[in-house]
Amino acid sequence: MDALGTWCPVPVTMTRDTIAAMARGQVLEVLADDPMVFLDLPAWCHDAGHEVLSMEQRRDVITSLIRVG
Amino acid sequence: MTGYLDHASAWPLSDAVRAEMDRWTAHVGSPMALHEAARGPADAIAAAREQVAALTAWSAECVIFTAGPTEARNLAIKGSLAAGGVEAPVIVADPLAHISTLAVARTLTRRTGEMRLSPVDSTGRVSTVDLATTVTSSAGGGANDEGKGSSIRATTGDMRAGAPADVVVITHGQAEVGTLQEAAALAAAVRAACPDAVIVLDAEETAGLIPLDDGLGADLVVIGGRTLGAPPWTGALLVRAGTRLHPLVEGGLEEGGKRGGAHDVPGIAALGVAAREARAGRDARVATMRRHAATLADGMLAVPGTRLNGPHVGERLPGHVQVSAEGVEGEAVALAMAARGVAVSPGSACTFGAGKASPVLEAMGLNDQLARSAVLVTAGPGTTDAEVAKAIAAYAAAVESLRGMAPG
Repeated sequence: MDALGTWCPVPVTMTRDTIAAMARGQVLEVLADDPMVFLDLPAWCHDAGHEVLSMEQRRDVITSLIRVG
Repeated sequence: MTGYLDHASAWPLSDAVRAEMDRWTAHVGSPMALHEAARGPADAIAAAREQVAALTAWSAECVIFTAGPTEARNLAIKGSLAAGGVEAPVIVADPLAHISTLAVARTLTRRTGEMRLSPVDSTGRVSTVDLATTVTSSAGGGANDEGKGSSIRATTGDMRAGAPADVVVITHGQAEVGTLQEAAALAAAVRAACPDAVIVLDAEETAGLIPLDDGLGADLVVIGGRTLGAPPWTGALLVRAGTRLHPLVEGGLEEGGKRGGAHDVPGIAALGVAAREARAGRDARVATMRRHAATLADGMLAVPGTRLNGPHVGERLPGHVQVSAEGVEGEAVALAMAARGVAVSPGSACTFGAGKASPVLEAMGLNDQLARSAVLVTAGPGTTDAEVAKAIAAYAAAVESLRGMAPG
């Protein structure tokens, strides 16, 4: 899911909407470049019952892998 | 009876397109809302997304709806450079590119970076060899050989002079002179010479008339509503999967975060219906438009001292004819034809108010008088034989009348 160029909470809301159409156990890759996703995405995943597998930043792009719970 | 031969400016809407606009103009309910009134507009936008994406045979997720093709061009160029973190961009186009493409490129390279324009020949065509050279080196973009037309190379700033291109814009169909580029071959040449460049295909003039399967190899495809039969203020940017893009208009969740702001539901729904109709009726539309263009060209060129600008009518945009005449001004001819009940444009639909010759025609090597005398006559799928005959007669009479008034 490409959320590049958007600011929180948009990346988190887009993640929520994308995951809504996915099955439990599937993994979503989220691309974003707002540093706030380091805080907001894990917090939302915790509340919603999803697992953050990894979050890595390369140059400006933050790549997050989320397993749908 | 009025003869309408200005489809370069606006097309009439079909009954189905107009009905779709009326339906959603009367509807109350935002497509982003949660309640029942949102479902209709949301479904209409989803259906339109499918129809517009089908122009390239890409998936519906590729579509970002915009307020017309000019916004789509801005989004393509500015958004891809922002996503790539490019601070001193190298942008390549050609001198026949749409004025908004050239304006964006000039703005982004005003202080640093480089804008390069590929050479064109006397019919406005860009060669794969010239474009491949231009995207990889400043030195390749400045040919100005006699018989090859002219080219303009504007270099602003020198921080990355000679660096490979970051963005390359291929103008598929040229609005003023009707030149059709071999877009797939040009895109392949850019890809081979400059693999990291983002390739933008400007298909405003060709969407619905020429197949755009797989975006003809481009990463981003600019679509306008007009040639599909939708309102000219509608449009979209189609994005190849994996192409990174930042929004130009920032906001909320609309268009996957890539274009904020409330949706123009009537316009988007109309664009979808028009795209469906255009794909279904493409062959018949193009055949009609080409037939009218051939008749117009034959009739107008029968006037002494005239010439066709751009390629032969069988090798240019369907329905498109641009003719120059010795001893007259294009604006005066257009006004004289209007007085005879025929709607056409002076040579350039976008720049004629500036009181100067079209830079496109100058780039193709026309002298100033011939460039100023150009008249653009564009037929659509609904144009009649009677309108064509009336336009030919009005052109001949206008030119004869204006020449008769010229000081001897």
